[in-house]
Amino acid sequence: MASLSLKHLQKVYDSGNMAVQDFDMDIKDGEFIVLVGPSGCGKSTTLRMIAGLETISSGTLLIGEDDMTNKAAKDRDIAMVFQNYALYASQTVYQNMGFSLMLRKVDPELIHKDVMEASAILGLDKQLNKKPKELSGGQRQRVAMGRAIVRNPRVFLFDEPLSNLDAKLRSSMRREIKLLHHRLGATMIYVTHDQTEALTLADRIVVMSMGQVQQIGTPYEIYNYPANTFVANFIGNPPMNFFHGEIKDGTFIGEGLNVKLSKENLDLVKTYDNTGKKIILGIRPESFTQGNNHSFTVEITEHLGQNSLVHGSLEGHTCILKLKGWQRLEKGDIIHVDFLQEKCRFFDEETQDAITAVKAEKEAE
Amino acid sequence: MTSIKKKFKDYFKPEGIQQEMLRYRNNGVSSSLGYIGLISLIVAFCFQYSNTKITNKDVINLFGITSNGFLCAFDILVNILLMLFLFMAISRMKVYSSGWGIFSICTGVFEVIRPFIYPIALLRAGLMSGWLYTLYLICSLIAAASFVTAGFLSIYRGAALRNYLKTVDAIEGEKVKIK
Repeated sequence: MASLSLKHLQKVYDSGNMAVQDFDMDIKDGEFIVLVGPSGCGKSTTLRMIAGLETISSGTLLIGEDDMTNKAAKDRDIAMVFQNYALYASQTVYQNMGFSLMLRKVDPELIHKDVMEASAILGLDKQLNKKPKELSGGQRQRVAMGRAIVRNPRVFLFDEPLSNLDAKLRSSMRREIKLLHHRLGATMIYVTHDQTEALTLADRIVVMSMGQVQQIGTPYEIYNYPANTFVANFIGNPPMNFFHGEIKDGTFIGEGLNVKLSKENLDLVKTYDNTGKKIILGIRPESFTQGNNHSFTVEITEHLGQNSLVHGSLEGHTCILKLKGWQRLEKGDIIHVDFLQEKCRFFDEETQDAITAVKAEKEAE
Repeated sequence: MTSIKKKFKDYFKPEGIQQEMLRYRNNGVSSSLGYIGLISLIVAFCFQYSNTKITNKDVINLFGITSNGFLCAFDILVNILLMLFLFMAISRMKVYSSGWGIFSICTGVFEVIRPFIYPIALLRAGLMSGWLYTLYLICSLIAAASFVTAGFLSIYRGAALRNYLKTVDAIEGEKVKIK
């Protein structure tokens, strides 16, 4: 296994389109990194640059201590699992898994041992004589993973491997990938557009948009302390609620909405107090409590079993609440809520960046 | 020498991990030898008829049959049928069939005897040149050796696989049925 160092990677196509801008990151040995973002954000391009399937326009890629920037894909000692499995239809599962070793002229007994070991890990030992067409989607994906495992590479790359599977299967495969990571202790880089996969699998998440890295952090940091409104909106289902306004005398004032801020929050946004500068207050749907300060008018209720998503209007602002249990609320019902102050997040209206304690101190200076 | 002995043992008496490997791998060696034999058979056929004169004159007497045209037609028919069945045998030996292995061995034995039936009669009657007959004979012997080896490999390895499968749980797609 190995660490990776991606130093200011850029990908510019001949047409001038900059698919990836200044991707800079160090990945530790054994870490599980997830690249997440909407379609076209550059996450798959970044993965393909690491794999060697795309040339790197500028920057450096190190795997371990070795400079792989201009090395061919076959020389990088990486294994890739694709969205569409990429299995050989005419070969059995056994042959598919052992094919790369066979090409390298490895001893057949060693190939057999490696394939049997990988198939035991993935629960494929009863499927080894079957062809891919006889397998389910999840089994095919496991064969693709097994083919990667037998190579014993330094880095595993996953390009949206669960996108073709149904929701239930995706859930079980996520668990299997997580277990595989624990078992192998391998360095893994995983690309997905599904933020649930990102939050459940990753040691660290890289959120990307339009070729740029928006934030790198642990799932906890990304979810609870998003770096900007894009990250706050993309991560979390349903997304964060945003209220636009300004700070006056320690109170957030939006159109028709007044939120008295706690001392901690006021310290954070003191440079915006009574300046007229526009600010965004963000709060996740689950971060409201029962209270008396604000009235919420119900539009529709979505029942999720354990929780209910209540769509409506909070004093004139469109908002979503996530309430525990099966809420029997009808259109037009009014409920009273409060903001959990410690869960409030603030963003600069102009830059869309989060206002953090560090930034607040810098602005104060 | 040790590695050659080991390879011979692995092919004809697979044990342990070699036995386990039979379950997931085809009998490629038998299949390859079968195709070598088949190609040799086709080449021999070409040599036999490339410069052979087929005449209506009664210059051959084979088992009381003197019609050269009839004997030639019969020989060609036997060749065609043999090739068809050999294609079948090769595909079945690939999955360790013992029955088709026996067929392959019998074909090999027949290929040893065959040059001394009709082709030698052609040679004696002056309808086939000596050097062509020699080439035909060599190709036939290569075919014979290939078919016999392929057949024995299929039988021995098939038996080894069946013995192994008796000791483990069955899975879908097994290459042989346990008798």
